[in-house]
Amino acid sequence: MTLFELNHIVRSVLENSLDEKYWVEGEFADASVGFGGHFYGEMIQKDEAGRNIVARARITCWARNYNIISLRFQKETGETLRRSLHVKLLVKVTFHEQYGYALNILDVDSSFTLGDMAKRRKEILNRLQQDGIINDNKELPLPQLLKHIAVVSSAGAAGYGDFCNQLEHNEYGLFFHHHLFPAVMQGTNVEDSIMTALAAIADEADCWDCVVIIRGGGATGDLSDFDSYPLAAAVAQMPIPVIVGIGHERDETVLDFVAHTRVKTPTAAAAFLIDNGAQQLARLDDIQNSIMQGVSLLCERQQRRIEQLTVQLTSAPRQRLLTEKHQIQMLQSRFMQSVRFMFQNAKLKLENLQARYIALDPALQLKRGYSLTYTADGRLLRSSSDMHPGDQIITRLADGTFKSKVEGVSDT
Amino acid sequence: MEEKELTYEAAMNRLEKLAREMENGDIAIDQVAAKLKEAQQLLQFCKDKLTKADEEVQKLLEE
Repeated sequence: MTLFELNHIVRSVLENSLDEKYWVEGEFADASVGFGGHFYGEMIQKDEAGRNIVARARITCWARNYNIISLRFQKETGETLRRSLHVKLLVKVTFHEQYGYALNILDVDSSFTLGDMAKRRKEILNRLQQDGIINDNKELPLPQLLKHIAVVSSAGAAGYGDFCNQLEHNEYGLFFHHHLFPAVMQGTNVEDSIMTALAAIADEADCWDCVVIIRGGGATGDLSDFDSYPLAAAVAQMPIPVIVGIGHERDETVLDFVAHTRVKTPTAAAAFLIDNGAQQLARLDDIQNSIMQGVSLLCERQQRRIEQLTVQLTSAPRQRLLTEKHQIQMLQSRFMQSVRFMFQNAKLKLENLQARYIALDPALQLKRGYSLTYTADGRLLRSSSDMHPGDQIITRLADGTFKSKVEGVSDT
Repeated sequence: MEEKELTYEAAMNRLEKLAREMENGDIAIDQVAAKLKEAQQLLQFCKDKLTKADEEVQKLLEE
């Protein structure tokens, strides 16, 4: 029997005894696209501890099919079919007389890989949580002034150029000192090179206000390189805030969970820094306004006080003067009144006296018919007993006198 | 010389305090001019920090 004949028997047995297709889970140990666009690789299964390989198979995928499923897979997971990726494949078992045993990929289950990546992320996050460092970087206060920026990126990346360009040409005239700590942002060296860059920054942490880790926008490379415990722990334990802009719209990495601030793209990272500066400028304007308002208020208040004092100072003496004047007037009128009263009183008394004197005037009595009688020697006669018959008497009337002789006297 | 020791955050805190004092009218009128001058210097210091290069840092970065 020839080798070909034996292989042909094996092929027939396999083809006859196996189902059309199987779902199989494993990890890509090797994956590449070869001549003609066909996909070739190797799939392995490791033991529970993840140390030893317990199963291995060659895999193939023909160009036509590969183009369809790899595009869909990339769209759904953000990942390419690459080495060390965990996958669930729909395969047809094949055996070729010349090439031997191989699994031909018919389809790939995106949700399995997504689930696996999520599971891995969750494990890393749980470990960070257990170690009590998951929030270390987040809890750092963001300095008010973000001016000295340590950038971790790859020098040639378009995202890095965009970031620098945006920082340097911001509309507020803000100035940033930024310095690149170069690192590989794609592939197997991501973990080591970023960690080396972070260590260099940490050594001179007091020179930097924050770290920015950015990767070219639009890059579709695998993100799971960033899902590493040592890298996440290094970010979490950076002594200054870390801003992450890995540049992936849909998916997130563990770095997004441990970084102080996460943004989607390098330009968003630049915008974050610029916004921060703009806010500071606005705050300064506010303070300036408050101070100017405060000063003018203070001056106004003093002005009012001075005006008030001026009024008080001038009005008090005037008031006083008025009161005094009024009092003087009052006194004057009281004085005048009492003088007037005194005069009136005196006048009244005088009139009274005059009336009394007038009543006593003998001439007035004589006019009314009364008369006075005198003796011949001129004494006024007041009693009949002083008269005797024959006495010569003189009677005085209002308009003249006459003499007569007493003939008789009686006392009635 | 003074600026070397002064940090942006310290300047900001001082400015906030000055603004509060001014607004509350806690300042004697005799001190207004001095405080205003201080505030203006601090404002300029902070604005320069945001918009101008630190020459020493620039030198270090260029090395």
